[in-house]
Amino acid sequence: MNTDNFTFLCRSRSLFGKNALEHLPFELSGMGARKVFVLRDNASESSDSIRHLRPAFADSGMTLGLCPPPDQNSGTGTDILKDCYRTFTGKGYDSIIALGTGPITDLAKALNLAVSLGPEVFKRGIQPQDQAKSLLPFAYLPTRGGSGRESSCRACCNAQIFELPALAPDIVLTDERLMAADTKENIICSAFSALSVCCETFVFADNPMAKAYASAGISLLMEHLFPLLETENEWNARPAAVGNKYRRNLACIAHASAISGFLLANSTSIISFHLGNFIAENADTSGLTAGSAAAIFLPRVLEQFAGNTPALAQLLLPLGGQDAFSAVPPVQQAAAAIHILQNILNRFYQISFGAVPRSLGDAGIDKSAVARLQEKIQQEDIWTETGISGAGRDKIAAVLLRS
Amino acid sequence: MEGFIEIRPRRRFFLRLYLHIMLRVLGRAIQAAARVDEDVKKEFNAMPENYTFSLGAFPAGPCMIIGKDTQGIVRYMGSDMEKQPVHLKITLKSVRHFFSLLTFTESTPVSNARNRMIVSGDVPYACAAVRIMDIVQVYLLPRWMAKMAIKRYPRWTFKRHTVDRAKVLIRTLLGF
Amino acid sequence: MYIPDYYEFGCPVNIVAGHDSLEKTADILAVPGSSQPMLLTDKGVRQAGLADIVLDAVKDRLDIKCVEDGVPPDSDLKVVRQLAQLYNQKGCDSIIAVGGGSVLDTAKGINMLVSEKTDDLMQFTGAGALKRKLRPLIAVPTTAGTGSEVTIAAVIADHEKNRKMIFGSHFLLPDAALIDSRMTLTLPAHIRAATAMDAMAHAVEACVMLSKNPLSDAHAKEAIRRIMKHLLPLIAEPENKEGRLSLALAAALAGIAFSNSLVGMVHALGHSVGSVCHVPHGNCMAILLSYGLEYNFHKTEERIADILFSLAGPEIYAKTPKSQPAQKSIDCIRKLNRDLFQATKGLHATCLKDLKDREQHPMVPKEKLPEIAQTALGDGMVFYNPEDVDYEDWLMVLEAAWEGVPLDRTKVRKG
Repeated sequence: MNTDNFTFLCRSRSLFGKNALEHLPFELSGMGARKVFVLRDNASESSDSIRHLRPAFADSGMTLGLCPPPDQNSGTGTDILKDCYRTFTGKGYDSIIALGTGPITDLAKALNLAVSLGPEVFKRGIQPQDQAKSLLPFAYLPTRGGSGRESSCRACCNAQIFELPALAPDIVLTDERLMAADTKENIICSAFSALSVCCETFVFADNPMAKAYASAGISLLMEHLFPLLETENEWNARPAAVGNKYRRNLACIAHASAISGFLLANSTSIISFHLGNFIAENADTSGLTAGSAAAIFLPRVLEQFAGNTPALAQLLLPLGGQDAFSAVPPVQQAAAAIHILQNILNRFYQISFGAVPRSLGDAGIDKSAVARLQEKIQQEDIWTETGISGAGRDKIAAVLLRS
Repeated sequence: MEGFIEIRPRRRFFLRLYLHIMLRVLGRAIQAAARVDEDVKKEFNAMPENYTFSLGAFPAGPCMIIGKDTQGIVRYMGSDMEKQPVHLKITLKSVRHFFSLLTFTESTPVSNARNRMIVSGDVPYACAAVRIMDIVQVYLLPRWMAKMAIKRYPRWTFKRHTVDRAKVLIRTLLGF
Repeated sequence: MYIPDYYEFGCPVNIVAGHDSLEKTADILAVPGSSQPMLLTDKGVRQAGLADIVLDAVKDRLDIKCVEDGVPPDSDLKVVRQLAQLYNQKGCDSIIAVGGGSVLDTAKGINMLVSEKTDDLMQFTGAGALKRKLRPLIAVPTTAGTGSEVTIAAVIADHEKNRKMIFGSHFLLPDAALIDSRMTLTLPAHIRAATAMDAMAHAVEACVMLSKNPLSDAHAKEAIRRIMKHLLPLIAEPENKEGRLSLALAAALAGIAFSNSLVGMVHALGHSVGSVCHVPHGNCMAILLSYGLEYNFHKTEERIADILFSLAGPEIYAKTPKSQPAQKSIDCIRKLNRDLFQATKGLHATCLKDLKDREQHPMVPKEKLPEIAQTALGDGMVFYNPEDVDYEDWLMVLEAAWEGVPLDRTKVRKG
């Protein structure tokens, strides 16, 4: 394996499991925090997470400032951010907790930028001298799977993208008690997104640290996704309720999703992940989530870009475990890995009565739509940041067709 | 900001009460064991004069202080950290973790493995303090419960299990 | 996959690896605006020419204010204070630490003093005493074993008061660890073997002891696989820079694993043999590792079995009957030690009685074993060992390791 020149940085510490929340005051206070500003989303409301957060801070001597979950009546994103900024600075807070996934973590990161670097950062953008500056302590507490971006070092604020190593959360704390009930589609979207990021990193990164994180992420998903979703016989019977019994599995998926965020912070070229997001935004179908699309592309991307390489063969190890890997002859391992990935889609297609697509065709994207998307991929500049060349784009177009 | 609330989470009265009682019992039991049990005596003999150690919860939760006085006598010294210097602090990261430890739902090794415990001070004496607390837990608890609290239940003589245990329990109750 | 009820994992160190990663030093220091570092090393590293390689790599872009090689083998409080004064006098703004554990611990000590503008280290002892980021520190490991470049702890001895101070804080971690294949080119074969076995012990114990978790397992297993693949070939062919880099990465991976899941009785005993008989740490680890596994066998058989895949590869794993993989793992480690003994022409000892100093005197006389056992009782790593260990247990393990015979597992008292 070529190990020439790589860098890897994961700034976040992961705290996972039983009574993890009770560690938070100690951890935050170790970073000098005394007054904690808590941002939360509606999912955190439904899991009643504040009910668990409050006692976790009992006896800690710390103060919590609880923001209400932002809703449609709260105004635009900028209004909410301004409101948070005023309250944060006016009342002297010194640290941030984001309780929830997706937009709430972007808000928390934007707030951290504003209070640490000054609100003018949104006008001037991130400057080289900002790279060395410390931001205030920031803890991310997922209540659902998430997209993985929550734990990365990137924030999206009013269509502006900010990227800074210090934007990654200092702490990613996953506690089963915080897990909110979620739709199966959302769970699958999170899990498939994370799986795509972890698998691609595992195969393409010449970087043992990233591979180690990816391997753990894949194993977590392989062990906890099926028990979570296969137990319900009727897919549509309880669409939005994955109950307390499965909180541990949900927490593992949220944990894997956070791991995928650490990997996203170290790699820009996760093709299936980007392609999934591209299709979810551009295809004329409402049912296809970015995660599902990424999972459809993943086996094809691996085939197209990794072929029958040892790196792809090695992927069988986290996907199938040591016993499966040892049982399969080396020449068949790459194919076996692809087979497992495809089989995941096939099984979900079956247990979801066709709700989870196995291919773009299942998702209602016909060949003419694929052709239009292929054209768009060639034209648009969406691959600039991933560093994928023209030849790579041709391969991506081929992936699209085969998917 | 509409709907914003600022709270300072309250102390948990019953948890703290339980911990105070347990720490008092444990502290007095260590004092008693130091007078009765040869192994505990040996551990304390290896500590310097006036050496004190504490077991408590972060940041200022319930705690107990044990120490040797100038005559080398082991004493339970209450819980006031400001009254005497504490040379070795064993601190649980939260009152909740301390509660799990002292309700024996999480043993000392498990609590330590889960990074719930921090030690500030001389590590050899911290090891000695943990061994002392293990022995005292064997004296205080029924066998099935002690097995949950420590790694390996010791093979003691019949006298140690009966006579010495009775002595430790009586001294703990009477506080001498 | 074993997932504990609760675990923590993190390593916020920027790992920069390659055959010319030293050339990135200036870029890394430029981020926090530093350009005037102190280069800290020890005499052995300097004599081996490694400090010069670093200096050559950085001299055009950095203004090295001073090069200090006065770090003793056992980091010392007095030296830390002196060097901190020098750092301030020379107007340094960062530290590049080139060396092993002692150099890095000294660098961490200096960094605490100069960042917090004090000369009292005592206030930072214990866990979590530091509350803010320290000045830039770059670690350049030279031994491919200790993993100290990714650990949050620092141990500094106060020789005047005859005590060791332990510091633990995430702020002590270096900003970056530069892993460069040039740094381990000149390692003598027996030291390469011993330091790699130190990393092996970190990785294996991380997989077996009480705080094991999925992320530390993934790091540790990759480290084990790399050590098994590259160590023996490298002894024969040290010029293989891919192998050297891979082994150095294995040490970092093992360091990340054990700094998160911690180690157990092998390290407790190793520290004690080292402190009583002044045996290099890696040699102790190589000899004691298999004994630690045997002692904990009844509680960790499944975990020991789980590392066979990484130790022996898929073919042997597949061919091993389901009742034997744990024993096979232990056999693999013993075989590796024997192979290293052959490859180093007998310089890599396989039992304590064979450890010899430069004058060929035994380093661990049998009469020292009780003292070692007594010292081991005070080592904190035993907290993380699955089975309890008392004085008699330590002695039993030491006697077996001294003779070089497998531990009689029927004599282990089971809790």
